[in-house]
Amino acid sequence: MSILLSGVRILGSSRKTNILINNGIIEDIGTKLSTDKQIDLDGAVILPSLVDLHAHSRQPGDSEKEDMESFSKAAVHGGITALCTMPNTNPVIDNPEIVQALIEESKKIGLADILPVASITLGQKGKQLTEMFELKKAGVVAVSEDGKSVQDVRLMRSALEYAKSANMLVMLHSEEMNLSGGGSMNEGYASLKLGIKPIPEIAETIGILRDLELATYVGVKVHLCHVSLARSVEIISAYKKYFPELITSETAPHYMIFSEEDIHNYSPNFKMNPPLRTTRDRSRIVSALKKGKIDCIATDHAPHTDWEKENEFELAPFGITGLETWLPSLITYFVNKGRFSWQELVRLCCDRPREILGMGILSVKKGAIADLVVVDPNAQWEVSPANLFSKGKNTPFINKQLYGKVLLTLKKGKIVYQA
Amino acid sequence: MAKKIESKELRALIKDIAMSIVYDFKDLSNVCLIGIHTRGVPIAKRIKTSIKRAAKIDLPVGKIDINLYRDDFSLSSESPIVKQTDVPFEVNGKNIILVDDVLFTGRTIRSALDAVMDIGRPERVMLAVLINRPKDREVPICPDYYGMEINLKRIMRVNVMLKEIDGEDKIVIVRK
Amino acid sequence: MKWTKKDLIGLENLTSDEILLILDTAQSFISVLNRDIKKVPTLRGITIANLFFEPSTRTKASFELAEKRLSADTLSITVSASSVVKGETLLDTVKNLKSLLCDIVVIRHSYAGAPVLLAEALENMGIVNAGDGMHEHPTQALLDMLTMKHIFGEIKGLNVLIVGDIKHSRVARSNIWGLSKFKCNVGVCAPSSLLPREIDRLAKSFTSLDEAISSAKWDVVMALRIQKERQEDGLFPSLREYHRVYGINVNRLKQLPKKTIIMHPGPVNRGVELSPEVADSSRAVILNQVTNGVAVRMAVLYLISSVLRKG
Repeated sequence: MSILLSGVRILGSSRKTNILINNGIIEDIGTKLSTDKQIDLDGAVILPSLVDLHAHSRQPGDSEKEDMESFSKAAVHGGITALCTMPNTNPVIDNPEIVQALIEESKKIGLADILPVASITLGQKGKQLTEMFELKKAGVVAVSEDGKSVQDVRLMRSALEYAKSANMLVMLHSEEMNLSGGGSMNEGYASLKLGIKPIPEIAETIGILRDLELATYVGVKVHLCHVSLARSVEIISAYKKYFPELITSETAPHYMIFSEEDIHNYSPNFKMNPPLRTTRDRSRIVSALKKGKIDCIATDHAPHTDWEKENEFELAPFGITGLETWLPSLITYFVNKGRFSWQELVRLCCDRPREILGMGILSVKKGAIADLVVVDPNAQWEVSPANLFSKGKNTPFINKQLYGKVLLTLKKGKIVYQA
Repeated sequence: MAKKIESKELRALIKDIAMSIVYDFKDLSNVCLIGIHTRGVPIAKRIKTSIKRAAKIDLPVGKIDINLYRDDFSLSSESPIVKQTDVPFEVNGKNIILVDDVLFTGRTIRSALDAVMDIGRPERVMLAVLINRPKDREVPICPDYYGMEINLKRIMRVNVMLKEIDGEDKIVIVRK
Repeated sequence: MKWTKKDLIGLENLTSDEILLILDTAQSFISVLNRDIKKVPTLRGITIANLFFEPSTRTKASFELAEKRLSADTLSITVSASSVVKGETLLDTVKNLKSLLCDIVVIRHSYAGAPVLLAEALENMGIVNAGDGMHEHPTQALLDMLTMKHIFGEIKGLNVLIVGDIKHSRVARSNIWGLSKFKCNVGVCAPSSLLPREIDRLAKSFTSLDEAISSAKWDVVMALRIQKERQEDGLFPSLREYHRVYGINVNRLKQLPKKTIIMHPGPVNRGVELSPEVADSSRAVILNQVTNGVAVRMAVLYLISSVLRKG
């Protein structure tokens, strides 16, 4: 069945045009097209759909926080048609059976492609490696110990060597846990004033130094998760100079938008790991994205139940949601303000993530696969609990207004979300 | 009735009270004055001065702030700042005369009575006020000495102004 | 000057006028505490709940006494760590309080921000912070400042040196906030492992006590209690070395101006923060602080009730 999207502006172009979609691809683009099913989008912007390299579906096990259905609906509401799900679940994603079950459930729901990431060690216990070859066959796109880091350096070296042989991408949550243990926010003036046990910068930088020394020594492809510091960018750039093909990295929207100074009133909706950093780190992260020193943006979507987050700051779990606020917050704070162009946004949220996963880049042109999102950058909407599909309402944007309303999300030409 | 009382008349009222006290007491040696914050305090001091001039005896003067004993918190329009309570003499066995500017509902004096009883055990407590408004009493308290009696509508206020606090001696009657 | 706040969370957000209002009000209560009938009926009919999540004999007793002297009805709840482990969150406890119809909650908690959480959840109740994690302990700092006011006449421009585990001390933070409102010269002294990063934004820091002593004519030297856990965490090697380098002993006392007073929030680890001779000397004003503590807490409860009653 063919669909015509009329009145769209490709990557924010000033010219409106129509896009004819049939058989899962963009059949034609032009102003004179028409077909039976026509959706008038009245000047909204059309982009390739987003791909999220880092999200937590909480499956298997923690359905109170999120299940596959709410996860998928939240993803397509955010304009995302493919996303990774991290293994720090209950039980941990460390064997092919769990992987297959997840992939089947994702197919049954049929909204976004959920790409499982398996753990580096069994149960994430840091003792025994997972069967990476089997896992790859089952459909895993990467391994990661996200949520924590493999503490035993010797084992981490073996893990990287083994992953290299299995041709498995390693997503690194780099953290020296002996330095960060017990802390809840960045060590600095804000933590001094709030009296909260802090996490020093060096927990992240020492972690990254260790992991990059290992990775470059071994010669394995790694992807650094949730980079939050200016210093981390410097370290990564130094290694990338000598090993450009081995290292990619991501940051999350909250490190671009918020800083430690935003944690007033002890709200756990500002608590995540790595924590929000200084305003200087924030501006360096943004310029690193522009210059390509950080490759892409990923949400690190981490839903939690209300009762867990309604706690003393230091007792509340780390993590905030991000699937549904990713595109809108970048539009609100960056595109609409002229700090990013639509092209830059597409590079950071659509193209680079696809490349890192070994998927081809999708453009909005004739013949391309129709994985698309249509968003109105001038429409405001309230991030209220009722408006969110994710079960997790723990976002710093809760009850605030954002620009950028997703109107339509298509996957292989099929409508998976419509406002 | 007149809307205000000028300074000469106000001073005369205080002098009257002082003289009444002197006539009543054969022996003033056991008498002490306690002024109630705020305006009862300068009035008590002036009574002391008058008595000293007439009877050549120096009565001790103390001051109490009744904010800690109020029963009508919600009616206080200002923040209940606690001013100093200073009673630099022994209260036990003494004849205390409480001094205030206006006796209206009587609740202030009731609180003052509680405060004095918490400081010690006087032999007797009496009351001297500049203006008595007998019609508006809410507790069974009457003054032993008063300068003047006025009956007004509930809505009217008697404002006593004193040089020590307000810069001039005057009494005005205003609508609340 | 009016008191308009229904909660006392910390001194960071108070003005110097507000602090002076509390101290002046406390002064009136001192005369009540020194006479025979040590009670006033002011808070009769008000119910105050003391919610102590951390054990504390002194602060708890001080608050209870202050409440009783004001004729309030008191309710003390010691929440053991186990009920938190059992899964009863702070908010659960709070909901119970709502049904008990308390007017004021005095809370001591090991996590910073707990009083803020309560203040938001219990909109109609007054919250008094009796110490939250490493954040603030406002009534302790207020009583310290009242003591200073008694001795020096006024707080403005005093030179105050705080020695000890600044990193983990809520008392140090509250004192720094309070004293800074009066343009005092505040110094802190500790080994770097016990000084928080960025502390220089709030006070001049020293890692040598002898250097600190000779750097200014201190009016007050305040010693903070050292906790054994910090040694176990590897933050300093031994109590013996701590005393040698950072303890106030007779020699150091001699180096200080004659007017300098030594303060300590108590209880003193004799031979660690203060040598026994110093702890017992006339320059140490530790005992005066008990009455001041009750008076300050009476003042805080009194001012907070005045706001609640009007509303």
